[in-house]
Amino acid sequence: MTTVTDHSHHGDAGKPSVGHEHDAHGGHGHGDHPDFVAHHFDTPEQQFDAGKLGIWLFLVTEILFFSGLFVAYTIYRTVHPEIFEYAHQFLNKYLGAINTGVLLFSSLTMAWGVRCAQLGKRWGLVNCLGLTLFCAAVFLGVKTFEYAEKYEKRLLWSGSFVSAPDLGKEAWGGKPAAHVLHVNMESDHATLNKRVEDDLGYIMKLWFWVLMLPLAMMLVGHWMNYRSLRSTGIGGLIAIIGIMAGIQTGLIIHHQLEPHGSEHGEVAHVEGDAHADPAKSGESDSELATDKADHEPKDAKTVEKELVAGNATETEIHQFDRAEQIPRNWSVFFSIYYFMTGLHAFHIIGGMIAITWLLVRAVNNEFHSLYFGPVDYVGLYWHLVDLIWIYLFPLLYLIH
Amino acid sequence: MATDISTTPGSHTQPVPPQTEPDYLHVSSGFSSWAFTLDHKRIGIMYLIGVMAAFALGGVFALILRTELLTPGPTIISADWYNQMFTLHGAVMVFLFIIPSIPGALGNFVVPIMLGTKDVAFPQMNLASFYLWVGGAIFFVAALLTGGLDTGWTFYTPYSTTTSTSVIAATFGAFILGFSSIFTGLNFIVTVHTMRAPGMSWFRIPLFVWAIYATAIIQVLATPVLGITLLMLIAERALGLGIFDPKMGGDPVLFQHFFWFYSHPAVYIMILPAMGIISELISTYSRRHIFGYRFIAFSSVGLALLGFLVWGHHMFTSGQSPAMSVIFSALTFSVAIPSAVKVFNWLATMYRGSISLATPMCYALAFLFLFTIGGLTGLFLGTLVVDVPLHDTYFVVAHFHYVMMGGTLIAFLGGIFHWWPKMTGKMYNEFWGQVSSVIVFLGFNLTFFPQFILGTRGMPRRYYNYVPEFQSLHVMSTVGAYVLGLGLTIALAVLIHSLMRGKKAPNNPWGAATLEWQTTSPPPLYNFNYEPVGRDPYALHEMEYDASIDGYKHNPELAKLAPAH
Ligand SMILES: [Cu+2]
Repeated sequence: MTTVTDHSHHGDAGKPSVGHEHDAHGGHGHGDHPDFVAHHFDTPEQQFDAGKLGIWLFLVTEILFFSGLFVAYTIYRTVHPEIFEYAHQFLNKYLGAINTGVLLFSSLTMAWGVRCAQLGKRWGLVNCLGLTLFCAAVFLGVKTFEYAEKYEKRLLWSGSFVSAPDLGKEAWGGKPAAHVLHVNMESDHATLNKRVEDDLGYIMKLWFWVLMLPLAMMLVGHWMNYRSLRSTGIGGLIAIIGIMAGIQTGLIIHHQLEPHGSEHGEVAHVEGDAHADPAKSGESDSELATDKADHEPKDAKTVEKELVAGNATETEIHQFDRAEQIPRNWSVFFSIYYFMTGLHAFHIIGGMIAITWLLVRAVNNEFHSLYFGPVDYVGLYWHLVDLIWIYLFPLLYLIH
Repeated sequence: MATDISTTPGSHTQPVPPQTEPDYLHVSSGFSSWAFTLDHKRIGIMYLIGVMAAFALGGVFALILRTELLTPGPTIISADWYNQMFTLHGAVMVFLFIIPSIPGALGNFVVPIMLGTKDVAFPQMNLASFYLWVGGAIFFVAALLTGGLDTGWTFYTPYSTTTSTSVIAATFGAFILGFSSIFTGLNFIVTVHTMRAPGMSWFRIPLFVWAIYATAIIQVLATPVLGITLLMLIAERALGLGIFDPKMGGDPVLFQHFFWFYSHPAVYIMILPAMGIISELISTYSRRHIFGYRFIAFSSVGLALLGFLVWGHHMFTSGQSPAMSVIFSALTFSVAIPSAVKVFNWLATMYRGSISLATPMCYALAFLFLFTIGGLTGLFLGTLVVDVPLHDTYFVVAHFHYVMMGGTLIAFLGGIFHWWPKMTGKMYNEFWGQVSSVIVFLGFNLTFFPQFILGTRGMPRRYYNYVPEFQSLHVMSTVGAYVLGLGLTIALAVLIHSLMRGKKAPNNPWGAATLEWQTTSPPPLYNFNYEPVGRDPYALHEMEYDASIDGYKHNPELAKLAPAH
């Protein structure tokens, strides 16, 4: 643990002390002004209290920031409950649940980290922060999979169907019937997974090269005996290894949960359940469950073919949607889904940057019982990001 | 910079050490000493220059608009340009000028000194706030240059999601400016809570600080909602979200709810700091202790909180349910109570005071007239039956200009003249200062009073054309705008002249009792050469005029003669 330095220090003023009246600024009765207290604060307590109040106010602004989205969600769902009932089936609630667990666990490691900082346990703090980063990366890894899969299935926000000519025929002639799309794509799960995994593999390679930067910093810092450079390198290494391990774990989790090839795993079963829902007609349900059994009327099949080929007319699509009990404007669900989870993911990334910054400072041994504010503040922020997910998960994944 | 020892302030508790530190303007120099400064005073000065530039830009738009309205039909610009001009006038004035003006410029400079502290709680965040303002301003200018903006400053859907002008650039600019505002507010709340000098108890805080504190509460609570609303609007436009789009089952009126949930409280972001300035000015230039200190302080916080409950009064004609309209109307009337509390307390302070018509006081008196008219006409608009015919007419335009311009801008000018000697160390020409205030007052009324009449006769706002019967009133208004422009130019000339030729300011030229007047003019880097102690900020009777320095000094002997308030 660092000792409190006893010389008077006036931050960035960069000018010589001019006798007793200068001390009056620093002291207010306290003779020493330690390094870790910024020049405009009198005591470590004052600095800590200011930071704590500041972060709580910041969290208030964050809550109000998300509140607009929650209100929009509530109003849209109240007016169009059928869209949420229909569309939520395309979300994988097992992946969502795992992510919830992962984030909850990361809140534990973060809180543990704060305790370590308070006790001045340097490596305990480093471990906790590394674990938190690992969890964050697992979360984002799984999330990437979910997004990529939906992208491949063209389960996108509303506008992408109305005005995305570059998507061409895959955009289903302007207004897709998600249902058809989904059925069509499901049979090709293996290709899909392969593509997503390839993409992620590419990201991992990228991270591997990024890894070289902190490695170089660590080595250079070590040889030149430049302590803070070395700490930055070590902190960065731990952070990136944690993130890479997290992404890899996310990949494995996804691999375990997603159905492969033509075999219908748990997910397909879940979707079947959703279709058996009283809100949907039993007829369409049986059609879905036995889509290869050739029971359907011939013209529906023709329409479906045209849909797949992107040749169906607007009227045909509407008729198809009606026959299949697909609510109009179902894609607004995905608008809301992408907006809310995307904004949340940005907050996760912001938190990861802050935690990496803490990690570097922790390796540099900057925190101790009198100065652990930044760890505490980032911790509070992290809990809030966790909390927001705890609301998002049931609101989006667990409808019914 | 050598400073005359005799002008160092009368400290209340200890002998004053000789002034050896340079003031904040001379402590360092060069571009980076300003660009990367963490000193709240320098940041305040940079804000001051920035918002004045924005005001000049918005003012030029206003003059173009008024010139266009001299005659019915085309006068100098096309109808499309007219739409862009009024949109940019509103957007620039609201987002780049009024909202950041008083907190960013005067608040930043004065609040920490009034509290007796060295800086705001988070100086880096304070600087970031300024640069976010710059960033937002750049986006606004980008919108101006890349297709303009013709939605009105309110960005109402569905028009804002369908027009071909640069809505995304402008709303992203406003989004960034929102964070600038949040950073400022957050900083002030924490500063007031944790950075007060010894003895500076909650009820020894000057009323300007109370006003800034109440403003900060709104900035922190309301602005994030605007942020997410603008993000949704951007997403709606760029990606097609569907939430505001009736074709997709969405609701465009929801946007209005979100927008006014921020923008009505934002009206109090604009006016509360102005009221804070007026409390300081009225007391100082009437040489009287402020009347009803706690009432004024609590009415600021009350306005901040009540302001959150009345947004629906902007939507009486938007298809909101009658029950909602009745509730919002009733709540709107309740806002009049804390506003009136303030006005009555200011009048009571002036009663039997020894009023000096110094330039800041001239502006304060102008504020009292104009704000009262603006506030009372607000009650007309809050009344359901009256609002229906007056909605979206020039009556509304006149009402909010009386509040925003007659209130905030006038108080801002008064505040600039009041604190100018402290900020720059220079006095200005009193006579021409007074002249500017009189011309601004007359020009203002000539511009906006005819608009009340135009509105009651049915002239709709934002119209390019009008029937010939309205022309005489429009001409009056336009001439008034030119007079107003002249008055403001004189005010600016007085300030620039002061910078170049002004004589050196004493520490306390006005005899005010708040802490910023007890330190040197301009203050040193860390604001005080002694340890400040909180006292009654309105104990004006303790200040004694000293002819040798042409300023006031604190005389502890006078404190014993404390007169009744
Ligand atoms: Cu309002």
